[in-house]
Amino acid sequence: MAKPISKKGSRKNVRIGSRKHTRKIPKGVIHVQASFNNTIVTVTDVRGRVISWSSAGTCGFKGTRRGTPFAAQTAAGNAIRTVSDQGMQRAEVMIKGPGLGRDAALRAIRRSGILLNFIRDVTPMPHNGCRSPKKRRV
Amino acid sequence: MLLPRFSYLLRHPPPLHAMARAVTCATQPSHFHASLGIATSRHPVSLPSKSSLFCRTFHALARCQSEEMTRRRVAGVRAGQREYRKARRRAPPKSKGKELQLCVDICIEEDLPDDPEILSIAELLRLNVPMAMKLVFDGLKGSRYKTRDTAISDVGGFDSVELSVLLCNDEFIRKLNKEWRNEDRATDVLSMSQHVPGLKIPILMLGDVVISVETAARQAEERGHTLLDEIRILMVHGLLHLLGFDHEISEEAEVEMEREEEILLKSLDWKGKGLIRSAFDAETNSNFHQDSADDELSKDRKKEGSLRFYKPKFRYIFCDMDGTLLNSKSQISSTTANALREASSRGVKIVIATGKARPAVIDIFKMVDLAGKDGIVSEFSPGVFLQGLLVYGRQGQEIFRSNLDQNVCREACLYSLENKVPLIAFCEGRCLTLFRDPLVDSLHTIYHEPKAEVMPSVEHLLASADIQKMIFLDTDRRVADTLRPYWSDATNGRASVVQAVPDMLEIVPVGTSKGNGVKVLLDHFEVTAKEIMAIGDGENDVEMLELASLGIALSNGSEKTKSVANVIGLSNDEDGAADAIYRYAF
Repeated sequence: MAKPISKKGSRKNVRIGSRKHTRKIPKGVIHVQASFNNTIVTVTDVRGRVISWSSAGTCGFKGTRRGTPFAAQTAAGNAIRTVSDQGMQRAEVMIKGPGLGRDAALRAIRRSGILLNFIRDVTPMPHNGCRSPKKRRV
Repeated sequence: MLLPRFSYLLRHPPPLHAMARAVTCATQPSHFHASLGIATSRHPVSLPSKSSLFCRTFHALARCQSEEMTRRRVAGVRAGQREYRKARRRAPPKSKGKELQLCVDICIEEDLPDDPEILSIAELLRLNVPMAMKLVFDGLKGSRYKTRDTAISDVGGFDSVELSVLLCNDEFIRKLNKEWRNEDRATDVLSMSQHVPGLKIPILMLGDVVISVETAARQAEERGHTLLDEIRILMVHGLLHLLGFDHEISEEAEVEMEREEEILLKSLDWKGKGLIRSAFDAETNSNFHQDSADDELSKDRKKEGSLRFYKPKFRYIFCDMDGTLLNSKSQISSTTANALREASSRGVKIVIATGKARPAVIDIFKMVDLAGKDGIVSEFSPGVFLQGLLVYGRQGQEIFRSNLDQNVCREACLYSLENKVPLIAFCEGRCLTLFRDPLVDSLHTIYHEPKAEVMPSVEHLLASADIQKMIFLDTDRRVADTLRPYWSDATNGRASVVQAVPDMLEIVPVGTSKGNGVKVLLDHFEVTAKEIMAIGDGENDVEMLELASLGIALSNGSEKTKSVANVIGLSNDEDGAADAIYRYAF
């Protein structure tokens, strides 16, 4: 009698957990950080907790290839695939940085099937050096 | 099956490659294949992935039917084993790995030339930049800065920090400046932040520091230090911007950033002032410059240096010889020779504009190893000789010649014989005279003109060759009191009288001058006055100095010359020409 009760209870717990898990991440935010030498793609939930992330470096690209559009595409694909499998359906995209990988990462995100609410470029205005006044001729 | 691969990854973590070349074009086929190969065999090892994998396994296990439950259990067991091994093997690296990893990628943009100096600077930056980052991170722990943006405060929570440094040319940074800041001009450094506050991943991505090597080279020249020193200063400036400092928001912020710059540069023992201080000093110098021009000129002499990326301000420098390149002993000093050599090596062409004949100039330059096809003067180089009566263009071809009127020549010869005044006739590369005299010899021994040939009679001299100009030699007083007044009248509009040196009176064809010769040469070169700088001293240099966009008269020159010049430089005995070249030409 004890065994059947335990089994039934266990099944219930498992189901409740799985249902909760599915509902947890329907929406998210995808951050793309694109420098000239690397691209990092991070997926968070709406509250900012990281769900998945990938970078050109972690995808195995080294040296000059880390800054290429293809590396960015691969990194984005890896990060998105994980959250897509978990059932994420909608996301906002935040892009930061001038690197070559920004467009490629964006294309990979579009092709993933996740609906994009909007895409926002949050690259801040770059800082310059100081302006030295030009020397006057006598 | 998975275990061996995973062990391999653990044992051989991918090495970090610091130096790379940025690719501005689309991925090439070979790249694609190589990348594809790498992608095929990749194994992501990241915490979120592991976590999600674990969740998925659990989820799948929960959903399977009773028949498959047994298999899943076996899978579960394997997962458990894997977890155990992971934890076990990670232990040693973790104990070592408490240090923060600083990843600095130094990239050289494609359009920059493959230059050993740039490559060596990039190599040095691979060592220098992590040192600077470490120092600045230590400084961040104290919260003594009021104006710094504290988005980046504690880097202890990250496994690694990434910074990207890109060395490029003016064109590339101008495009960036235009696209991101709406300023269509090149600048020295741009800091482009990619930091996302609150994003908790193991990598802290600071961003890019983009430095134009060409602008840095020009600024290094102005500030009197090397290109490496300047790039270090710009890198420190850019790094502080990425960490939240901003000198433009207020005076207090400027003071704080300047102080941090000074601290970093001093701690690292790097040469030079911070960028903010340099800009301030440059402004101060500019104001001081107006008050005391002479002091400024002497203090502000620029240092030599090899800068291949720096474009000189002028393409041509027209130089007089006597009283300018030559000192009072009629020699080119070693300092002046080095300056001419330096200018030539940087792509500035030295063009001689003189009253001398070309063979004389070649002889003078031979003494300092600057003659010949690869030197400053040769049979194949352009120049203005005999006060513009002979002008040679590209490859040393004659492009202008002006002869003296035959009758004026005859009268001058007769005057020379009657009054016993030594006379020399210049005929292209030869010098002719009527009788031997120490003054005639001195023209050869001191001024290096061709040795004068004594002609038996006036008719012989006139028949020998075309005469471009004639020179009477006498004492200063007799030239001024007797010769000049007489010949000013006697030429009667058929010739001009010029006095380049106090003890010589020159008779030259009408309408010709060194300035005219220079003009003819400029037309031949098809260049504008903007690209011309001229250095001279004598009265005959006035037109040349006015013609050039920058005219420099040496202090030993005539008052008339100094009054029309843009700048008055040091005297010829103080290597004034060399000083002018270093100060203004580059």
